[in-house]
Amino acid sequence: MRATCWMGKQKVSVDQVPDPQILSARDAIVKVTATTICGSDLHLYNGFVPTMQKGDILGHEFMAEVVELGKGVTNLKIGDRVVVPFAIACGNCEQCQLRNFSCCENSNPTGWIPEKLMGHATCGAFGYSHLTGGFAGGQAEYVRVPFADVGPVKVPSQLSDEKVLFLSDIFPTGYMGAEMCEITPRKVVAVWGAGPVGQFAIASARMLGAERVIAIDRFPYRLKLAMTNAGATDVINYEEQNVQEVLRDLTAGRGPDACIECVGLEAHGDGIAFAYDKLKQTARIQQDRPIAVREAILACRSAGIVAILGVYAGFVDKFPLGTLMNRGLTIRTGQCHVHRYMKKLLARIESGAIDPSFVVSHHLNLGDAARGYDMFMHKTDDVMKIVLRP
Amino acid sequence: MLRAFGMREILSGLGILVQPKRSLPLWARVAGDAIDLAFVAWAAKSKRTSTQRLAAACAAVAGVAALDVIASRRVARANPTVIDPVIFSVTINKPVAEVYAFWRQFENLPQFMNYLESVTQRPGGRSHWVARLPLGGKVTWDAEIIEDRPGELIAWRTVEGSLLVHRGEVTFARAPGRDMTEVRVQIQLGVFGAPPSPVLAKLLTKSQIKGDLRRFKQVMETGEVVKSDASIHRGRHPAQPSAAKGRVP
Repeated sequence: MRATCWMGKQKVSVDQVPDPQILSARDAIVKVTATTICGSDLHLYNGFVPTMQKGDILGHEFMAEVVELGKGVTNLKIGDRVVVPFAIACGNCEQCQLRNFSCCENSNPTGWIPEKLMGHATCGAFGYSHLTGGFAGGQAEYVRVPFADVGPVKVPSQLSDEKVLFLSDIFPTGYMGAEMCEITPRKVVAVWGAGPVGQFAIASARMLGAERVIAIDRFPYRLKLAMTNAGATDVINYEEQNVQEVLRDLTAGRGPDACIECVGLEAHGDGIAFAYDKLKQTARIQQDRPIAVREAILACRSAGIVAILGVYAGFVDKFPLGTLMNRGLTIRTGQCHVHRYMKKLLARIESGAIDPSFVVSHHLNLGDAARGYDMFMHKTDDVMKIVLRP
Repeated sequence: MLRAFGMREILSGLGILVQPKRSLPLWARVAGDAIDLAFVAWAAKSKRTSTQRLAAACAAVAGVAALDVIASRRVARANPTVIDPVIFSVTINKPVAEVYAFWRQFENLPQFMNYLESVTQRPGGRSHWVARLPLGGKVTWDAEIIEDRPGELIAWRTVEGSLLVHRGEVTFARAPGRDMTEVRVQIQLGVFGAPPSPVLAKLLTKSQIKGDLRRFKQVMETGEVVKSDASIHRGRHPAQPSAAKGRVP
C-alpha cells in the first residue's frame, strides 16, 4: 500500500510499504477513505517530538471502511463506515473505565519511553512517534486499528466525509477545551489560536452557551473564519494589537473568565519572549515554546480556568507559576479523551447543530501529502484544514 | 598530568561532600593515595630526583593515606550499608483471587515473561523452567515453592544445583477502595555460585521485570500482550507494517 512516511526533519514522502495485518484478536484492518494533516503533525514534521524514526507512517485523524476483523471484534462488520479516534484505548483498565481514554494504561507497548521522560506512560496513538507506541498512522491506504471493539464509531451514510471526519480528533479536542471551562452564558472565553482546533473550541464554547468568545491569531483569514463560521464575537490580531490590553479592555478590566490555548509548542509571538524561546528551541535546550500558555495565564481572570489543548513535549521555563498560585487559577489539560465525545458530537452533527466541514480549505490526493505539509507549515493559500484522499 | 591528579582530587572531594554518609568516595581517596605512592616509587628510579624531597613526599602521602583509611573505616562503621530489597509493582484492574490464580498457574507465565519458553509444574511444588537466551540457545532450571498463601503470596527458589540461582516472591493485595490488585515482585539473583542478592537482580533484571509486569497487566486486563508495528520487532523498527507475510510474533 501507499503511505505517508516521515523521512527526517521537514521531509515526508508517500512510499510503497507492506500492507498491515491483524496482529491481535481485537484488531481491525480498515481501508482509509479520508484523512487529514493535523497541526500537531507539524511538530513531528519539524522534528520537535523526540523518538521519531525514518519510515514512521504519519497521520492520526482518519475515517475508513472496515475490510478485515480479528476474532474478538463483534460490534463491527466488514464494510462498516467508521471514524477512528486518534487515541488508542483498551476499554479495560481503570482509566478507560473512568472514561479518561487518553490516559489508557495498556495501549502503549513502548510505554517505558514516556515513563522515563514524563514519569508515567501515556496512551498509544496512531502515527505519533515511538513515545505513543510506534503505531503506523492513518495517512495511508490501510491501517491496523487495535482495540477496534472500543474505538471506531459507525457513521450514517447520509453524512458526508467532511462532516464526520473531524470526530477523529480536532472537533472533540476543541469541544473538550470548552467543556473544561465550565461554560455558562456569563462567562467570557478567550481562545488562543484560530487554527482548526481553535475554530472548534470557539464553536463549542458558543454551542455550550458562552455569549462572548474572543479569538486570537495572526492570520486575518483565520480570524475571519472564526467570526463568520465558528461564532467568535471578537477577534484580536496579536501582530497588530497588544493582547493583554485588548482583553482587559473587552472585559472591562476583569480578564476572560476562561482561556483556551490551541497553539502548542511552536507558538509564535512578538517581542523578547518569542526570541528567547525560539533561540532555546533552536539550540535544543528546550523543546517547547510556551508563549501562548504564558499569555493565557497572565490574561485570565482571577480564579478562572486555563485549558491547554496545544501539544507540548518537554520542560519549559519562565512559567508564571506565581501568577497561577496567587490568582487562584485552575489549569486543565490533556490529550483529548476522544472516545468520550464521539457519539455525543455525532448526534450534534446529525441534528444540524454544527457542520464541522466549515474548516476544510483544501482537498488533496494522498500522493500530494508532501505538498500539503509544506503548505500547512507555511500557511500558504489561506490553508485551514487539508483533507487527503488515498 | 598534574591537572588530571588535581581533577581526581576535586571529584573525590565533591563525592565526599555530596554523600557524607557513604564510605565509597572516601575509599576512592584511598585508591588515589595508592596511585600517588606508586608514582612516588616510580620517581625514585629517576636520577634527577632528590632523595630528601622524595622521602618528604612519601611521608606526606603515606600520612594522608593513613588518615583516609581511618576516615573511610569510621564512616563505613557508623553508616552500615543496607541492601534494600528490589521490589517491582503494578496495579491490575481485576480482583485479587483472579490475579493470584493466573500467576499460580505457572504455565501462564510465558504469556508475559517473553524470555520464557515454557514452565511445567511437577508434583511436590516443583516446576521446570525453560528460558531462551538473547543470543540463541536455552537455559533451564528447576524451582520449588517455599511458601504459598492463596490470594496473598507465592515464594519460590531454585533448587540445589541450578546454574541460575534465584529466589522470588510475589504478593497480591487489594488496592485501597477498589476491587483491584496491587502486585509486588521481589527478586534476588545469583550467578556462578554467588548467593542470591537483590543487587545483582537490580542490575540485570530491572527493565526486564518492569516490562514483564506491564505485559502481565495487559494480558490480565485486555486478554493479550498489546502489539504495535514497532514493538513486535526486537530492536529498532519504524512504525510501519512488517514485510513478513502472515507473521504473528
